[in-house]
Amino acid sequence: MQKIPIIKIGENLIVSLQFDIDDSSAVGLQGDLLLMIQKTGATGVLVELSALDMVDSFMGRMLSDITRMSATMNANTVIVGIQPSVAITLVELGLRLEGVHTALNVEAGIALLEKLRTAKAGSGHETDSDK
Amino acid sequence: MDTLVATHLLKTAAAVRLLGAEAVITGIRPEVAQTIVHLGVDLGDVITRATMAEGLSYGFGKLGIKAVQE
Repeated sequence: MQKIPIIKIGENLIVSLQFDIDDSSAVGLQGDLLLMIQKTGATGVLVELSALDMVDSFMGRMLSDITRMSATMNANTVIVGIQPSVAITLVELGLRLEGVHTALNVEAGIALLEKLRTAKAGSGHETDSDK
Repeated sequence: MDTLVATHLLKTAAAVRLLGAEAVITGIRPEVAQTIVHLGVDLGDVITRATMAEGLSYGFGKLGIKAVQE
């Protein structure tokens, strides 16, 4: 099982998948990521998949699970860098990843996380001074 | 945490809403977050926060209250 690094930058956690990972690594990542959210109180998670050229149904389900689990712990998730072939595979598998935010690259992903954060602060009447 | 506990929490939150208040579920540990998703329980409508501090911050924000150090 390979350990996947999780990097914290500001309010966000960044996970970059640099190789095709196996199922146990994926499950390990899920746990590690949630622990990091608990430890750091991060409110955004960015998962970068540009080095991935193969996605199976397990991986697809894992991505949507991570999104929902993070949401339970008050963190938005954005998946970025999905290769065109991976996008086709996901849709062919019937995994539409509904409710999962996606962006073209890391830059757009960070911008989207920022937007989601402001939207949430606006609807929840939370202000920066409360934090 | 099992389905029974999860649905009970959802029912509690729904009942609280009927009384004109809003329930925030806090203190969700990583393992519990994983269990909730694996059980397929939809907590989409309920506000959840990882820590009680975050939950209080949310509540204070809603009420327009601010905690300051003297």
